[in-house]
Order: sequence, then C-alpha cells, then structure tokens
Amino acid sequence: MTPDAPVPRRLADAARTALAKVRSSDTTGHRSLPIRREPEEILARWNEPQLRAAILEGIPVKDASIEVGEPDRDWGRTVTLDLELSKAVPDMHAQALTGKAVRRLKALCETGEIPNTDFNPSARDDAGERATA
Amino acid sequence: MRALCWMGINKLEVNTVPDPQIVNPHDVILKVRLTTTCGSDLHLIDGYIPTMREGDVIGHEYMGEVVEVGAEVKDRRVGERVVVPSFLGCGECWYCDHDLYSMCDDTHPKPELAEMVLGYPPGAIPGYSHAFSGLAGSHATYIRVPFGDVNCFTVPDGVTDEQALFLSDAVPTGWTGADFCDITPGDTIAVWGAGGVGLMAAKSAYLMGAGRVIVIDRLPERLALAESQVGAETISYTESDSVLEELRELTGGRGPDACIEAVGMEAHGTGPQYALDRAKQALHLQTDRGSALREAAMAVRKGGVLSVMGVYGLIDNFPFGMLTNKGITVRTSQQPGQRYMGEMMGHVQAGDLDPSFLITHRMSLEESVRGYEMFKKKEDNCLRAVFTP
Repeated sequence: MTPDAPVPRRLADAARTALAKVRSSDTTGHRSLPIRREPEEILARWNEPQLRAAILEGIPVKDASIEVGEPDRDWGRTVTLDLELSKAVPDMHAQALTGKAVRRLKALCETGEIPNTDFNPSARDDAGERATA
Repeated sequence: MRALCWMGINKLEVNTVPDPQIVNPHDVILKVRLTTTCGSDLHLIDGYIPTMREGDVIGHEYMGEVVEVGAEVKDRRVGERVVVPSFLGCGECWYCDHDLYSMCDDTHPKPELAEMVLGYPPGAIPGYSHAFSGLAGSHATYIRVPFGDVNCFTVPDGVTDEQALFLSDAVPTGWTGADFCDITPGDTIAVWGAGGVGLMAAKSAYLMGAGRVIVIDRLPERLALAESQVGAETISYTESDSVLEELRELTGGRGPDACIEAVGMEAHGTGPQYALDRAKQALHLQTDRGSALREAAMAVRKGGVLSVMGVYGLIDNFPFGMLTNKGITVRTSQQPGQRYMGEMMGHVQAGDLDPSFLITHRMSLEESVRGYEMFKKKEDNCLRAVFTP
C-alpha cells in the first residue's frame, strides 16, 4: 500500500488485514477446470514430483489430490483439485490458492510451462529474483 | 537496463532495473524499438486501477527486435522486427483456440488476484498492475514476451516501426470495437473519443464498410485529425447544445446503427451528471466517470450495438433499463490483436491504414516522465508520445 493511497482504500486495507486475523481458519479448497489433454498426460504431470512442487510452489500444502473427469465438448477434461493447507494464509482464501494451483496444472499440461514473474525487472529490492507465490 | 517505473500515485521515475531473462522455454526477449503512452495508463498513474506496486515497470504498447529466444521457440529469429499485441495468448487453451486471445487461460501468473475482482482471470498484459499479470512493461530497454511464437508478429519490409507500433494496441482495440458493430455497407457509426483508439475505431469502421462515421470529442485538434486523417464527420460536445439531438438530425431521426465508446473511466463531459461523477470519483465513491458511456447508450438506435472499448472499473450510475427497452446489444472486450493482425497488417501494406499519424511527440525513454505529463495534460496537443529506449 502506498502512503498516497486514498483514505477509503487505506481503511479497506486495514479492515481486510483485521478480518484476516480474526476470521476462522480456512484450510481446505476444491476447484475444477477443464484441461485439454488426455488423462494419462495430466496424471503424469501431476505425479512427477518436481512438476507437482512447481504447481504447489508457495502454497503451504498438507495434502493435495486430483481427479480427472470426463471430456466436456472441446473444453477438455474436467480436472478437480482438492487441497488441504497446512496453515491458513492471511489475506488469501484457500479456494483462491486452490484455484491458482489448478490453473498452474492446466497451463503446464496445455503449454508445457507455468506462467510466472520470476526474475521480473522492477525498481524494487526483489527485482530480478525468483517470484514468490 | 533503464525503465519507466510507477513509484506511487502520480509519481513516475526512470530507473535502472535488472534486464529481463528467458524464464520459460517459449519466451522471447525483445529489444524495444518503440513504446508509446496509452490512455489506459493514466488510470494506473492516477491510482484508479488497484494492485500496482512501487517499482513496477509500466507500458504495454510496443514493438521491437528479437534478441534472444527460448529453447522451444520455433518461428521467431534473432534480429526480426516484431510487434506484440498487448494481451498475451498461449495458443493452446480453449479461448486462444477460439480467437479470444485476450481471455487466454494460461498466461496469467497471478490469477488469484484477477479472480477477486473479475471472477475469472483474463490473459496477461505486461505493465498493467498485478491483477493483470505483474509482468514488467514495455517502457524499458528490453522486455520478456511469453509464448513468442503466438504473440510476436513479424513486421514486413516496407512497414515502418512507427506504423507497426500501433498494431500492438490502438489499432486492434479500435478494430475490435468496429468489428463488434457487425457493420453492413452504409451503416452509420458514432465514436466517442478522438484519442488513438477512437480514431482507429473510426478508421476501422470505414474499412469495414460504414457509410458514415461521426466522431465526438471536445478537443479541436483531435476532431481535426478525425476529419483530415480518417474522413469522419465530427461533433464537439462542448460546442453542441445536445450531442443526442445532433446525432438524431444527422441520421434522419433514427440514431446511429452502432456507437463505439472509446473514452473510458476518466471521461470529461458537461452538465450536472458530469459534476456528480467528478464529485463521487474525487471522494472515491466510484472509480468511473461514465458520461461518454451513458451518452453512447442513449444515442444508439433501437436494436443497435453499443461497443465499449474504453477501460472501466466500478460505475454505479448506469441506466441499464435503456439497454433492455431499446433492445441494445452490448459488446465489449480487451482486444484479441492476434486474431486480427494479418488483416490489419495487410491494410497497412496496402496503404489504406497508416496509424503513424497518431504520433505527436517523439522522445527518448529518459524523457518519458515528461512525456506522460504532456500526454495526461494534453499539452502541446499531445495525442501520443512515443519513446525510444
């Protein structure tokens, strides 16, 4: 948050931070997305330890599993990710993190890579380093 | 390298930042040859688009030369001149497969931020906040372009850098806006906004067969460009008693067949509604001033098309019932430039589309802070400032 942020935005940020501290912990997520690849390819990517680590990078995971469903016309096969976090992440709903992970799996299967901002140029101290989730 | 960075609301600086590098196997690194201001950048600079971080490199409308390619890039070669549509596609997902590149499912590195405000993430766009990717922008010496084979388009010999530059965003946004109008020969199209996108929407409408194009703005120099460069008729809303009445008269009382809104959330206007918009925006009760959008919706004929290409955030005063009761089709999207690039480039090569007239100011990247100041305040009739890194 920049010091120049308008007062309503600063108040909203403060409220969000406070809510993140008091709301009940939320550690499970369930999200589906269609992936345009065959089941064996999807499962091979998911089951490869290095790739799974990349899919879940930055997310405190206690347990994660996927289910590959039926094809949905030309959208691909519906893949569902169930995620259990090892701890609640402030300011980030478990559903959102599950969505991020299943999108990474989808991108990896469909394109061979996961979009990221690693080594991204900026005028910050962390510029040019690997990004954190 | 050097780059123009967002350092806070209304605070830009040219700083030294690390060079980009190949991160993924389909990446391409470009040496930026030209990069330009876009009206939508002003929403970032003014603080109306959230999730900017101090130090972000901005800019999304650019062309350059390939200097490095990733291991799985097949079609791009070092030394090629290329132009890149601002929204990035992957070429593999359902959306790219259906020519909806700006909605790509697989290019956004931070989809969780976009989901919070949009429900589903769009394709990534560099230099346009973290909710829209967090990727470093084009106002820099170099830029990393994901999926180079899908997003980098060769600039043919005979097409200048200046012409190719605007095929990145202003032309495809205007082209998309006109395409949404489903123009049949002889149609009358009204365009709100005579900035880069509005002028390109007007030109595109003619190229698609419109019989008449009427451009609405307040700045005499921009209206003069609409007349001289595009061949459009014009209305100055500050000199007109009623834009709606003028449009009625110009169309025999029925209204334009389609209206293209190319202004966006910081519209200027007249009258009490505009004053209310300004007050609410100043108090941050809404992010948008919607006078152009409302007027376009009011002006379009019954059963017509309202094509919205201006960038909006949160608007809380829009007469939605007007759409229902007039049977208006609303179409809007970020531009899928990849879909239209062949057609647009063909028109440039044929000589019937030359967007380089949008350039009013050329300067080095080191002068880009001043360039944005001129662009924002429209000093010296600045329509587009173009930077050479």
